Amino acid sequence: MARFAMLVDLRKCVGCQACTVACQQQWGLEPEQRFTKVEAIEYGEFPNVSRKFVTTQCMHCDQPPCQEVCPTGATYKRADGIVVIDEDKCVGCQYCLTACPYGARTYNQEKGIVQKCSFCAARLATGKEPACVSTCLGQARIFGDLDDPKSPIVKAASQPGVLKVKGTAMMYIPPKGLNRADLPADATFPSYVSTWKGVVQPAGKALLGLTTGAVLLSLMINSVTHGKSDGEGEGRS
Amino acid sequence: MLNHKLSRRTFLKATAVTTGAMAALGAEGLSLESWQKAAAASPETIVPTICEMCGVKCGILAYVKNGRVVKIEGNPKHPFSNGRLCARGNAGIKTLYDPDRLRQPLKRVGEGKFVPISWEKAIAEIAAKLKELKGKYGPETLVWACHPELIAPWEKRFTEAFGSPNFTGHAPTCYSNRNVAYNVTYGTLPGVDYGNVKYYLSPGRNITEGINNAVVQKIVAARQNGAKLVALDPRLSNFAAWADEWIPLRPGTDGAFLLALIHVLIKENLYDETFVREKTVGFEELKAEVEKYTPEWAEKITGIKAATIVRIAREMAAARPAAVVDPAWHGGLGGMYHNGVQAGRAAACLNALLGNLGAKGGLTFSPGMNLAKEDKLPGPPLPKVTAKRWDGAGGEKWPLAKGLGLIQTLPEVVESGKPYPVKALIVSHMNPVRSCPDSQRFIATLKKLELVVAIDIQMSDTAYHAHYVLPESSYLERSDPFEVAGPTIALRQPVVTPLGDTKGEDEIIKELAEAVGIGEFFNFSLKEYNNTLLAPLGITHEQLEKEGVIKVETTPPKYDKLPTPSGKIELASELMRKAGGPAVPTWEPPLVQPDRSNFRLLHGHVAMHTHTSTQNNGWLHGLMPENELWIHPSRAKELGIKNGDLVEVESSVGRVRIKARVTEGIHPEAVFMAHGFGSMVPTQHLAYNRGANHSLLVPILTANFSGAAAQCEVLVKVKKVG
Repeated sequence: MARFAMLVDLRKCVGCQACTVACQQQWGLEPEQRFTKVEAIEYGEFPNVSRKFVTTQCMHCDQPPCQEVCPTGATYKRADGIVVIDEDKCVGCQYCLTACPYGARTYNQEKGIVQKCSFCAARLATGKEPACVSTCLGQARIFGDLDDPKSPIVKAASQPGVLKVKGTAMMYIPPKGLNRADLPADATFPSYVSTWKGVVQPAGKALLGLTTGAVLLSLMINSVTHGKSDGEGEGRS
Repeated sequence: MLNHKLSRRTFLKATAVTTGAMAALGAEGLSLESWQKAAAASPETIVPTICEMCGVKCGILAYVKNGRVVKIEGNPKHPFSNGRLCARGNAGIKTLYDPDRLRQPLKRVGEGKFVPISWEKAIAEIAAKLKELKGKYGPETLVWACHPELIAPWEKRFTEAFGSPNFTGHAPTCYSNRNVAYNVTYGTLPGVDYGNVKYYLSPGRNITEGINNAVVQKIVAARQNGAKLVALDPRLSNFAAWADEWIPLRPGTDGAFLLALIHVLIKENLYDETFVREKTVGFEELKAEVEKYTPEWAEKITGIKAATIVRIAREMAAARPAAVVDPAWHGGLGGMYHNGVQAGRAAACLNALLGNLGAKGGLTFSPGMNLAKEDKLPGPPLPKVTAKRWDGAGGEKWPLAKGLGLIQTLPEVVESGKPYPVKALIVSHMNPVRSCPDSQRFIATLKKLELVVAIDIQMSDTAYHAHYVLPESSYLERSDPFEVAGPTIALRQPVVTPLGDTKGEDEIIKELAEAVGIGEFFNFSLKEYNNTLLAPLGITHEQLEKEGVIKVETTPPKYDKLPTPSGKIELASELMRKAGGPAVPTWEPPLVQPDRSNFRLLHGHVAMHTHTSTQNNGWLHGLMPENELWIHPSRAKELGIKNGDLVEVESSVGRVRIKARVTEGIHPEAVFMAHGFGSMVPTQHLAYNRGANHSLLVPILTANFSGAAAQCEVLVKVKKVG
């Protein structure tokens, strides 16, 4: 069985946003929906200033919190490691949106569903690389199957300087001067997700109905994640 | 409960913009019968063609389903894209299907008011007016202005067949300083072997935001192979940020920095002596001139430490001949200054001292290609145009600006009526109201003209003031004259049928030519035109339709005899001397200098937009809906400005409002705003009034020798609003 992963060599990322739009084009996204983003981070004072680029997206967690909170089973992790959303099953409750520690999920207003990076699973099925990989001007993105010795990802992952984001399918080669804290954090399974799974979800289903449950969950998760998520994955500019 | 199963209707809606409907289904089996049926009934076709989201013209593959473009990818066979596309190229579908696009010919009936008009009537009325004006003022009363695209040879042919010498491009608002500097030094404009550079100095070329796809791909690879990249820029552009070293010099002082590098190379005997002896003339004159341009002298002017200048010179010398100063677009940041030709000349001479012409990783000339000339086309030869040009380009006053034009001087010419009355303007692929300095003055000029015709795919700020707006089919709906791309020939061809009542410009020109009585000069179809010119290469338009890109035979460039008066690289230039300039590059301070009460206004490109043409594209607008004014924290603090505050920026000619971006990434003496924002056209629903139009602030100033618009010679005051 395949074990898909992506490595972004940020030394080759020029911040051009080609990946962002290639992805939007591939999936026909609304302008405000971005499955992958390029963040710019500035350090220092004139004239000793630097700006570094970091790409972010769904990390395809080993133990995805989004899957745990999904009430309908729409989000699931495939055997090959890709976390996907079955849009037929998604009811648009957006629990997963708040559960995702990386802010990688988007809500499609028009369709009333949640969407995110699937490593371009449908393209993979036709033998193509993910859209962001095949368009990247600097060839910064390497994608492949860690279990296939012929896959380019195997060689890429063995280079010096590779930083694996623990508990996820993503790796980076950070450029000189980029703080580790400005890359997505290692995955930790948030305790509130277990609480949700064990208590709130059944209670919510039984008593409150999904909508109220969503509000409660959002409030709860927001209160937990605030103050902790700064500098991780999202929220930088 | 909500039902999110995809119906056929929603499927069609989804596929209308994307192949993304597949996302709904996962990759573990297609479950939706209707999707399968629809997909089977409508196979995907792939058409090779050429992008036009910017001027680079990358080869693309357009995926078409149900008569709609669903995906655009780079064509792996095309040397400019190599299968990859930038953000803008990836966003092409949103331009094609932009609901604000022009869909029918329009006639102006009042300020911002247009009524539809048929093609026949529009062409007849325009032709009648052109003939009337030609009778009154002579054929030279017509100026055809464009950003030269593939159809440019037809536009030039039309203008000349009409009897006017006034076909004019956008050069002075872009590369006139560079072209003149290199023309007088090398006899032509060299390129750079980016993929093999070992040391790359960019004088203000923001190579990763003013994107040329192939160049970005090559420079990233070169850096990965150990090249050192150095950015000279008063602002931390994305290129300066990504490069190995950022040299944040005082704006407008590139020339001083480069002259001091030359000083060090000569003083320390680090230049390529053999190359200079064999391939150049004027070394002693150059040496005498740069004697005074010491690193200490340059430190006072540029604000960059003398030791840094010495180190850079030594590093470049160690890497030669694979060390290069990019000719860039503006010939150095100086290119947008009054002293731009001198900065460009300094860069050209520095390259010569590095001995890099024709070397791996150095400057290059293009290979030769055996194309037929236009005189092989059917029909009579073009009449000889005798009138002098409206802008003097190539004439007594501007001998070096031949072929470059001075589009920014249109207001002066129209206002004064000198050298003669210009009464008619045809504008294509160009938005001079915002690409030239002083938008308001340009608009006032358009209002003085008796005939303004705009050919565009969208209502530009210039089209908005035209008497007639002729809607061109977009790049995905039309064909064009062939493209020469490196050692290949490529073709743009229609991928889908036009969405509205639009035409390719070849048709527009042919019809207009017929109507004004010069149809005999367009006695051929676009296919015949392409086939005639391609004949010596043994390939045809029809082959190109199938293959998209074809590699052809080329002859390697020659470096032994250059097209200069001496046949060598002219460190001391005969042409400059003749034009009344200094034969060797000389320091000339910028025309205006900021003080503590004001700033120099800089402008530039961003990676996700092209000039003024993409701000209404949904995806690109989403990424960057408006520009910001970059201002240094120390200066912002003095003015009580915080990040995100609305500020007013005022110059001698205009005033705009814009949000402040307080950043350490800019020289304290300057403010910066990205070009292309602040559309003044209400029907551009996304772009209208978003951000600020920097052209409103820039006075019309023309640089010596080149005729370039000196667009960075502008001082502004900034204050917080409210």
